Amino acid sequence: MTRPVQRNRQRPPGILLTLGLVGVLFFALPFVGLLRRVPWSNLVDVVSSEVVVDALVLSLVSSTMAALVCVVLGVPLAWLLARIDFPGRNVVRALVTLPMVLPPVVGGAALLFAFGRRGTFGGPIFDATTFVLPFSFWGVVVANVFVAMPFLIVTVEGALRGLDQRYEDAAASLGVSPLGVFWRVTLPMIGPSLGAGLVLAWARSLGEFGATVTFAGNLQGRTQTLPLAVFVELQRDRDSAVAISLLMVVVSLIVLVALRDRWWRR
Amino acid sequence: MILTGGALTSCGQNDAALQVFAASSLAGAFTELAETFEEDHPDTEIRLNFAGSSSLREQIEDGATVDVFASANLAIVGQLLESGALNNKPRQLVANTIVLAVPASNPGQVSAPGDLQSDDLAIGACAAQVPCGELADQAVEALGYDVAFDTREPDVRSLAARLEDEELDAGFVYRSDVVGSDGALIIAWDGSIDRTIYPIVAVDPESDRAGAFVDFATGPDGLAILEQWGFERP
Repeated sequence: MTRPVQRNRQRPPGILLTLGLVGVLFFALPFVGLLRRVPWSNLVDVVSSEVVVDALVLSLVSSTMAALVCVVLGVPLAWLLARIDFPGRNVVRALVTLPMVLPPVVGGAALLFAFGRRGTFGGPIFDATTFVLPFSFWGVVVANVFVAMPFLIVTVEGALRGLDQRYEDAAASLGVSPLGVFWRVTLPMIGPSLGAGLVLAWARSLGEFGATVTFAGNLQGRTQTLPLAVFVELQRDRDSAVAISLLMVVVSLIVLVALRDRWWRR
Repeated sequence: MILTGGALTSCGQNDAALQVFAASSLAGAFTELAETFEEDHPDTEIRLNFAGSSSLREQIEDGATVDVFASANLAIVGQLLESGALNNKPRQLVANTIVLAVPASNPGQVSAPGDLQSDDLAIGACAAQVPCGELADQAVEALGYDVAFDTREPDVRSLAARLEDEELDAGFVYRSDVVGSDGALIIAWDGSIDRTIYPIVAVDPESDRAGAFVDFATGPDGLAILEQWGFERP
């Protein structure tokens, strides 16, 4: 396959350059605004406050948990969607990618109606076991998985479709079982995409707000993640809200840098 | 000026729209209040914006277009006066009290604040950052023992909705939320918690229409509507 020749020295057309610069400003200016509001003098105190530390720990733990659940459930789903031509495949694909488009608060409400204490499925579970998802740590994880897993599924399914299946065919012809082929040939070959999908799902979980506040509520140390802490702190303590926002920008930057080789290569 | 007017018109706004910002707890009452006012003043259209009072204060400080502001406590209006975002004298609108409310079916069988010490109950309050949460904390402090909350909601309407859905067994909401719930909520305990006063203020002292709305809300017709929604005279 030939690549188009790169003409780096070419002078960009004025209109493209202008619009491109407007685009850059559009993203840069909000961060300038944020940075100007950062309470630099007492930043350490604010960021190390109990509310912020609790929220940071909860965010990191729940996002990591959610990303792992996304892998365990999402990879098999992506494989089925890519490889098995079953009836209703397009409907299933639409269903599992719907949360990418759906406002998260709608997802949270749907989760509540399904798994709340009086929900269609949560009700019988509560009556039998007194276990409830809302207002619990697991409620946060469930909300995160709901909004984040589509990103992993889409990434992994795309990788599976782009894969040269002759390697899998060769392994199968040598007598490797279908599960063995999946485990020892397919998975290693989609490794980089799986990693990217994992980080995307993790990052989406970290930023999750709407579904979490609607389904899991807001309690410091149990369900109050960083975005929720920013939202409630904005109503009282601007400094604290801005400091948490800065913390989230830093974490997001770290993720981007970690992914640099994946997305910025070439 | 002409340009600005044109831009506004193209966004579907018009000069007659009166922007009213009101605390979440006033949502039901102010919707009816605005409808009645519009009937009496056909040339005035009212746009309502409901949110937690602290959140509305932030919006006003950040330069939101607002003609009338009704807050759930005096301190928030005081902060606006102090920061210079507001320079008109607020008036007392109504009084409200925090009560311990339970769903009408009372799934947790809560009848006294002492019942809140049970670990099996799902109990909610507003976040400490908004007035209803501050009052809930005061109420709990007055009780003299800890209450293990399961959620601190960002505003009182979302808390009331969780109670109405029976996702919570009990919660500290305003008396007006119980009255406005159409029987979905009942008061389990109504202790001796201080009343809180809601102020209302016309943000621009020169605006006749904003002044007219404030006069209407604090006048006999406005108070009658507010009382129907569970608020008390200040």
